Amino acid sequence: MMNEQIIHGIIIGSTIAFIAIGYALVYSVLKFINFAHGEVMMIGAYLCYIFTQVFQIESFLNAMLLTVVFTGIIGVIIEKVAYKPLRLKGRLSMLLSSLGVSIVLQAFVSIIFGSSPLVYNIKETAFPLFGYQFYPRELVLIFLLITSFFAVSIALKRSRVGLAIRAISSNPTRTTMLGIPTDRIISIIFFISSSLAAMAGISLAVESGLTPSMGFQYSIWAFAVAVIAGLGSIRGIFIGGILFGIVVTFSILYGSSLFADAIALSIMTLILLVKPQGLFPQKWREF
Amino acid sequence: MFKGKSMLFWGILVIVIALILIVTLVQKRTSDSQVRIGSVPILTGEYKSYGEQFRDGALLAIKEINASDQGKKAELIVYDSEGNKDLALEKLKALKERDKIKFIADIMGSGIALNAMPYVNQNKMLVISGVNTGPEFTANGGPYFFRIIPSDGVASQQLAKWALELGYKNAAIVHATDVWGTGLETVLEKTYTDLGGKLVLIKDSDQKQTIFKPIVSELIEKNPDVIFLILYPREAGLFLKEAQKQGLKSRFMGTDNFTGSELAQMGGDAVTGVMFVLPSTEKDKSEKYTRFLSLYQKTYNTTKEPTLFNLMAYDCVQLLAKVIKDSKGDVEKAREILTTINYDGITGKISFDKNHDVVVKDYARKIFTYNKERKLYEPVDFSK
Repeated sequence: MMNEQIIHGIIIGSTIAFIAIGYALVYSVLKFINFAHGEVMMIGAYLCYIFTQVFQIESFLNAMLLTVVFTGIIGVIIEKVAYKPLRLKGRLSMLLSSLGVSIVLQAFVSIIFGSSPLVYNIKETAFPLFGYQFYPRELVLIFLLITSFFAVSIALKRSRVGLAIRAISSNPTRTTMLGIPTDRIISIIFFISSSLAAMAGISLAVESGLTPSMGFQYSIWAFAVAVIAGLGSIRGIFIGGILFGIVVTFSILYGSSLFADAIALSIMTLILLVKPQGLFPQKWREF
Repeated sequence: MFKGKSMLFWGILVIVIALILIVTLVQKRTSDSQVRIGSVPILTGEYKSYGEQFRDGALLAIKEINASDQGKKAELIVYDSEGNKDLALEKLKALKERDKIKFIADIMGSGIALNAMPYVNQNKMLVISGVNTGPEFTANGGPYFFRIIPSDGVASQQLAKWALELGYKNAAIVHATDVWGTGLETVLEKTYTDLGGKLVLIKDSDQKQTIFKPIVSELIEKNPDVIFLILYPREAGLFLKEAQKQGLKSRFMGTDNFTGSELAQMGGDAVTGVMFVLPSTEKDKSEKYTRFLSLYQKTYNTTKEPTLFNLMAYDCVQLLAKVIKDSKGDVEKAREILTTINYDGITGKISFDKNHDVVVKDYARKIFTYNKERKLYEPVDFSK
């Protein structure tokens, strides 16, 4: 049973890490926590619902791809409307704005779809692998997490865009003076983080259904993971996310589901008390 | 200067006229209706479908009273508690102090209603509930609380008895952490073990929790014959899906939490074989029910059968309307009438025991199966 529980933890942790990457990417460039990230994930899940149930797109894969692209675009629009005008006003202004966006998005979805749970109406069939019953979606999510981890890490180190991101992260004023298209780079960051959130949102919605508040618990956990990892460390998020998922699993197993959040978040507090800069040392960071 | 004073004068005059109009309208509203009933259901959030079912049934009762009783206008004032006990108490205060209403057709949610009971009893408001099943009301409901839905204490006896009749001697309980979930778990645990059953595992699950993987794995290891699932429909549906995925072989049983379509919507084919008990409403035999069914389907333009909460709400309002008329709006007299009443409702004969719990006649046993014609999973009588 212990092996199974660890695999449960890895699956749960993969979703958390997927969302946490979005927090880290935005923080790496703009140095603020985008509290609307969980709601962008929820928007992604509902967009996929629109594509599959309203527009009746038969292939779920096609609907997913469309969702990922559209959610990315929505993320860029949110940045242009709600954060860009506040960039020079300081991080606190952007943080408050992100809280506002979060409330508006949730209210918007509640008005259109109501707050009762919805489902995609797709039937998943589990299959055994290493003695564990996997849904294909769970393996795809783990695969995508590993791929995203390597893709983001390599892109940041090797590509021109990655170089620009790292430059903006270090000194945004100077990079603008040097002619680096800061706005475009920030848009790319929001596109990627929102697209990743959409994938996590679809996976969560297939598992648990859609509600306007579906992003809340996971986004709190993802935020905790991003902080534990030391905001900005992709590698830290990968390891931290998985560990966090395992902690949540064992909290539910050996304690009460009421304490799952408390135990997991207490661990975060303890880590931050001992290591205020996060679990992973500075040399591990990409930015 | 003069202009400023003049504007102030006109401003004050407009405000005074507006206030006089509002007070007049409110008084007119108060005096027009002879049967005025308040209700505090949940109409926002994930559990709003319960509140909507209740409201729809209650409004049909009001519609029917107004259609049949010339000159005696009935009115239902509905306030949404949003599932929040503090907000529910505020709404109840508004009903008492602003709307001058003393008769309440339910404060939805056992925890929410229990929190409001001190205010209800202190202010002598008469509450009839059609949805709150928490066993705590039997001892702590107070003199002004009555309910026409049986307590979970009775439901747990029915459930435990049925499980043991089927030979399920080892059981597990997975329950919600709110007042309803913990209350039902406590009485079910006692009843099942008193009747000779053995509980191999009890796990709780927070209402917002949708991670069931660890609990299902643990249940597979414990291998109970039956699992009593005391969760709300959404969470129960997700639990059943996870159980199906991991290959859990135990049977599942529940109570009236499985009425409505949400369990099948969330759980899909994993709900097949899930069994539950609910108060028998004798609806097939009743003329009143046939009339209600026709009114329900016509009003809401549907071919669906009304749910348990539609029926309970209708009876709550009709019963309140009757005692309001018989007592001429006197709460004390209405309370006395209720203690000895034998009312013929669409859910069957309604009378109350000394604790103001409905005297229970019978329970129905249901099982989820696939209906090929309607292409959906729905409960049918177990005997069938």
